[in-house]
Amino acid sequence: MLSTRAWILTALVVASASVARGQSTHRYELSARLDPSTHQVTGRVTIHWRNDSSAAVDHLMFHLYLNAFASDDTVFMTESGGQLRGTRFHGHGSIELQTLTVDGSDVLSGADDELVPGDHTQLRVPLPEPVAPGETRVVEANFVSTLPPVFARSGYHGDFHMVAQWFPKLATLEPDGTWSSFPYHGNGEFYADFADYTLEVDTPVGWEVGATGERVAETTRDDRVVRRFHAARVHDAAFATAPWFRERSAEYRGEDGTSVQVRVLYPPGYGAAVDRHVEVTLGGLRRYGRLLGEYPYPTLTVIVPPRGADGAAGMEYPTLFVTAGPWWRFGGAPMALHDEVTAHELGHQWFQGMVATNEVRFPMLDEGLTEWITSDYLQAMHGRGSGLNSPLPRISSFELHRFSAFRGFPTAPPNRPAHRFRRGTYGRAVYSRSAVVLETVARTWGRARFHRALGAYAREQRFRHPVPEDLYRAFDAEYGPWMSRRVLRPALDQGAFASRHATLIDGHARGLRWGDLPLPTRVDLWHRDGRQSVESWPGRDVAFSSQADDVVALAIDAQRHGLLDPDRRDDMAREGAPPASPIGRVLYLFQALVAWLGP
Amino acid sequence: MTFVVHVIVTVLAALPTLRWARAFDLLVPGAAGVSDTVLLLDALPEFVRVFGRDVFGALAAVLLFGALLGTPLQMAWLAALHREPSLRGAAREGLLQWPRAFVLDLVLVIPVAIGIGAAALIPYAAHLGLADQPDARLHDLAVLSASLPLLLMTATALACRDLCRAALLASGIVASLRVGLRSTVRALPAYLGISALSLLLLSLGSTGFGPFLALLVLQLLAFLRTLLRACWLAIAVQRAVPGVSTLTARLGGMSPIGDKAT
Repeated sequence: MLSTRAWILTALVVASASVARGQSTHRYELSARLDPSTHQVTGRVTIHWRNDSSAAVDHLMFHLYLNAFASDDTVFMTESGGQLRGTRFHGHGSIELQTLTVDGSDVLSGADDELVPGDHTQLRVPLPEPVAPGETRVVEANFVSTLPPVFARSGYHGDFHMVAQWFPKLATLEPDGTWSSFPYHGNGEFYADFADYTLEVDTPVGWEVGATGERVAETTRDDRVVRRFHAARVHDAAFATAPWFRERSAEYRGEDGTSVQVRVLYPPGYGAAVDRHVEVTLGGLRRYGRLLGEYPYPTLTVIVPPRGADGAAGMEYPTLFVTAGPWWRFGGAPMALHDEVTAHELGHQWFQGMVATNEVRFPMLDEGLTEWITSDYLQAMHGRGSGLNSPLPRISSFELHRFSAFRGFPTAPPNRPAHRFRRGTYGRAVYSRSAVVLETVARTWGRARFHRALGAYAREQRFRHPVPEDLYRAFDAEYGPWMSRRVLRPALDQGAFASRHATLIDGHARGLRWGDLPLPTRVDLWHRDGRQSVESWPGRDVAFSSQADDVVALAIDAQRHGLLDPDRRDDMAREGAPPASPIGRVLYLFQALVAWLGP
Repeated sequence: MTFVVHVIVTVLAALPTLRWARAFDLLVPGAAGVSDTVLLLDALPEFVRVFGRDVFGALAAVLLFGALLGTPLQMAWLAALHREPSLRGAAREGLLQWPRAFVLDLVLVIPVAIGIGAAALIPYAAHLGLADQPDARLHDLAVLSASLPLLLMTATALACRDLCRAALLASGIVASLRVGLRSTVRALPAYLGISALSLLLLSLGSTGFGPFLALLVLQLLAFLRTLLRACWLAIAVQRAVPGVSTLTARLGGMSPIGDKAT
């Protein structure tokens, strides 16, 4: 029996095509048929590819990233040690190419898929004849993707399937005709050219699907349903499906009149949390839109994964992201986890989704910038409680990042390739250290200027592949050439910091700094007669000395503008005994403990 | 005797507390205000190291000592609540009853372990039964509900132990077990109510007062907790020891000087 319920919405297709405000030169036509019992996706891809470089190209480079989970010897597995973000690897996955043709000619037989010993995540395909600049080829492939138990962004957990990095995708062809291709590393996965994507997802009837792009058609045949999605000018496509997905919708209206349909798919029982995810998403579209330019796509899909599918959580794809967080939420007290992950993954729609940097070579431009806009957004929402919003300690997200970046030993500078960080330091350096460097600039020289500089960079580089030089250039245009030379490069490329030390000698306040960053600083002084005064400590001076000789206490940078001081306990000095510790509370708790075990 | 118990507990708790305070002051020497959580954050790695080395060791030793001392101290406390002897008499009674209380604990431990183990199977079964469905809320609420018997079983076991120990003051081990088990169900509401009040007091541990006033207020709350415990033990004596009829008569045992009631 053939039952068809099709609603092809031409107007929406036209709208989404206009999204990009320009044409993609590549086109992907993808189809995927999911077998939930075997967790396999039988797929087909047709790529209309054009050589946009200035040189003839004699081979193609594909990424087959699902093969990262095919054995324990892959680059991903050796780098990650079989775990990622707390989730352990516990089952294999792979992608098997069955056919591969270029303009109808088989090219699979001559392809080499082991460019790194033991790793099959890249495929080098010699072309029958070189492709001249501007020429187009049609690449077709049939493949079977076997999903692993959910790990490192892809896989299944029960009936939940997160189908990501699942099809053969072309690497990025640089303007000089060389391919930027990488094996699938433990950290950093994205770098691809923008293209127009059409995706057909075939699932059993009753299974809901959230995918990259806008749903433009749906056809039911017997016990299967095929949904068709279209996305213009994106660089990847992924989808999630489950038979129990609940759905929530909301609309965002941009200040330029654009409309975005926000669709949240979530497991049963998560309704209260979804309220918050929607609030944060709509607020984020507004805030990021003002700062970085409006979100240009007509749809945004948010996936809330079920418990146990944490390997898929906290991950971004074009026009779709997977958030995280528990089902529960206390009314009036937003939990940081809900807000943080949703705000962060939404932020990736700009930094990587649209400003498509090379995540492996320059992870700072992806995760670092996203983490800064996330914490900036959280700070606007929760103030001092943006990181930890508990009734007693309230700690801002940026302070937590400072703690992460400097605790124990300072991390490496954030601007280096993702695979060059020691295990366990990637997040501290790329997320945290980048964020505190940028926040220090924002607090020291004004947030409005910072917003202008970052906004100019994001708008100028939209739908491009910028490098750190482009970011530095945007900041220099706002602040002057000293910004990159004296602050950004030393802090981001070389790991410079700004440590201060305060002393009080015979009523004279003294300060000393080291760490190569010339941050102008304010010094607060308390005098013996009860007066309070403020002095400036110019960035060019290594030492500070007060004129007054009746100082009883001083605090360097009490406003916490500089977040690049590994330890701020010595930024203050005072005469007399230190304040009492909260000994009463500790005694009270220990009394309860002893009494409980005692009589 | 109640006051003596409170002092002993406080002295024991003070040992790790003083080490904690010393570590804290060393770690935050020049702080303009200890409420500055940012400074506490900077001090955290060093504090954790010092805490692990100094404070945790002292706390572990004190808890071990408290656990060993707990039984004779409780027996002395019960004796004071029962016959209101002198402090020395109560202490002697506590030491004399210690071996019998130890044997009683040994007899109780196996059925209690079986009971608590069986009760723990209920939430585990709920977890297994609901592990494969996507509704985490349903899973969590079901496991939480299924944990109530476990909590009740634990409270019952603790109340039963106290009742049996109280009965030891007037009976042999087997008779005390019989009396304790028989009294448990009727005494359980009192135990649960007093435990709930005690937990409520504990949750008041974060006050908004300054450090010195907070110390006074918290010590008052701590003594109230000890009084609540004394109330429960007095109820246990009343329930488990023949001839003891009123609670108020037994509360004379809480006199700070521990003298006999007149």
